[in-house]
Amino acid sequence: MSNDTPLVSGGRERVTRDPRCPGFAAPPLSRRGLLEATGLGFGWAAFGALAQATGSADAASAAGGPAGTHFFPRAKRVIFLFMDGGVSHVDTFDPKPELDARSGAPAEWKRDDRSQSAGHNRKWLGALWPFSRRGASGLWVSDLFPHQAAIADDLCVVRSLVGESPPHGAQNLLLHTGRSIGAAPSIGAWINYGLGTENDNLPGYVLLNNDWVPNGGFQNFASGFLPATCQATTVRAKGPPVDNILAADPPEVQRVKLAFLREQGLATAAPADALAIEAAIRTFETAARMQTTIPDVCDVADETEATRRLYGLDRGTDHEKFYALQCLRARKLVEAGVRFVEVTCPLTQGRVIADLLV
Amino acid sequence: MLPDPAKRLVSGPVDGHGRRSIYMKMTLMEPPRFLAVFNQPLPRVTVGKRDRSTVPEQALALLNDPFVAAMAEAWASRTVATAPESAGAGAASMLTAAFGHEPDTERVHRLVAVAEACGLARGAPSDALAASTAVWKDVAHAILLMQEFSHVE
Repeated sequence: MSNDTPLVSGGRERVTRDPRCPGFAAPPLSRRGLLEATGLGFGWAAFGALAQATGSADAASAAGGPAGTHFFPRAKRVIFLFMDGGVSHVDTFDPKPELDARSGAPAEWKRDDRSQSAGHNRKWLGALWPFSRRGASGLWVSDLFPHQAAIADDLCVVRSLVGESPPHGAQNLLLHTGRSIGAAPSIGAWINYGLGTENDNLPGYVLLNNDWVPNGGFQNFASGFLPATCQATTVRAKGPPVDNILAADPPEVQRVKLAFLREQGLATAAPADALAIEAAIRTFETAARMQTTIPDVCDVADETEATRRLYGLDRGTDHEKFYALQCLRARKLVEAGVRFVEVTCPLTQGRVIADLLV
Repeated sequence: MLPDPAKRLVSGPVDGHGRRSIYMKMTLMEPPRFLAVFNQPLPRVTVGKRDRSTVPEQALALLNDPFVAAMAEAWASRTVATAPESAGAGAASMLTAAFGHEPDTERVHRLVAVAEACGLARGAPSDALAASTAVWKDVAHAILLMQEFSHVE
């Protein structure tokens, strides 16, 4: 056997036809082989220690942040309220004095092929709600958001995000993946990859959806070239929160099948495959636990009446009620150790919020 | 038939009236959920390499998805139609159909144990296991879950 023949299978460049002699016994798994065989990525491996402390988000922060990362993460959890079709920045947090000065004047500019709004007879429209500086920091907030204005000193506003092209799908992908053509890991996948999950009975990246696929599709929430474990798990507002989360069998029947799976798998696995088989069997056992943990964490029945009202669970329309429900679940999920929770906005009869305001 | 048509892999009858299809209708914005769980590439862009993953969502799909249940039920009905003379004979014929060779006795014994335990849990009379579609559906489902079935290269 020549020296340049890989001795350990399971490397990044997996050989499809094994060049080794038939009697060759595979050596114990390499570190990389182990990671690949267990079907989990490096993000999960770095978090192995924490994963054992199931659901102890507080324990992790008390210990000074997650162990195993090469840097100290200042942001520990993210709740991303993705308000597609939301209110314009120039009406909320981003005053444009020049725009106000020209309000009502004809919008004369050289036709810009990149803009889909370059029609004739268009006029500038200034801010519809007056701006003022709020809090000790002097953050600009318009009168449209009086309650957020009251907590201005707790907010961080980024005004430097610029789109690349008008189509919504491309812009959604740019926002989520950093590339307007997508095909790259979502921001939630990156956070999950870098910091891992704190609870191995729950996914690390949860998408709280409202039965609606945003422009750009599910690529917005995909893992791209990162391990597939980093992609978002969708939790829906209506009905069963996660696909296939309701057990199809009575518990005792499912237990029989899982026990058979373990016994049969371990009895017939070749020694070289035992680890991979073990990992696959464990995903079934985790799945069986998720049948309980996911509905539990998504159940808001235990919340007090005051909390339910604060979130808006008692609102009149489905849009408001389901959005409130998903926001409340977002809080419960990060408390349970989920790193990145994203909430999408329900579309109101096909009209964006910006249209409804004007 | 499947209780939730929205969960179906493709439109039309489950067995496609016996037809097989190479080209299927695909909604770019929302690919079939069942296949997406098993790393079907997103259809919008060219994918150079398929993801390989082993995640709990796949186990949930194999355990609980109506499509899997429908396949198990269809297989169970075919097995009951052959009127196997014993649970062991039925289990052996299903293993042969699944793997293309005669099963060893240990596999058959384990599967008969599954049939007996599931029959007990579902209240099927122990002397009529071989005639119970519900029990054979559990057995078919157990075979579909087997690592040898899902991880064969």
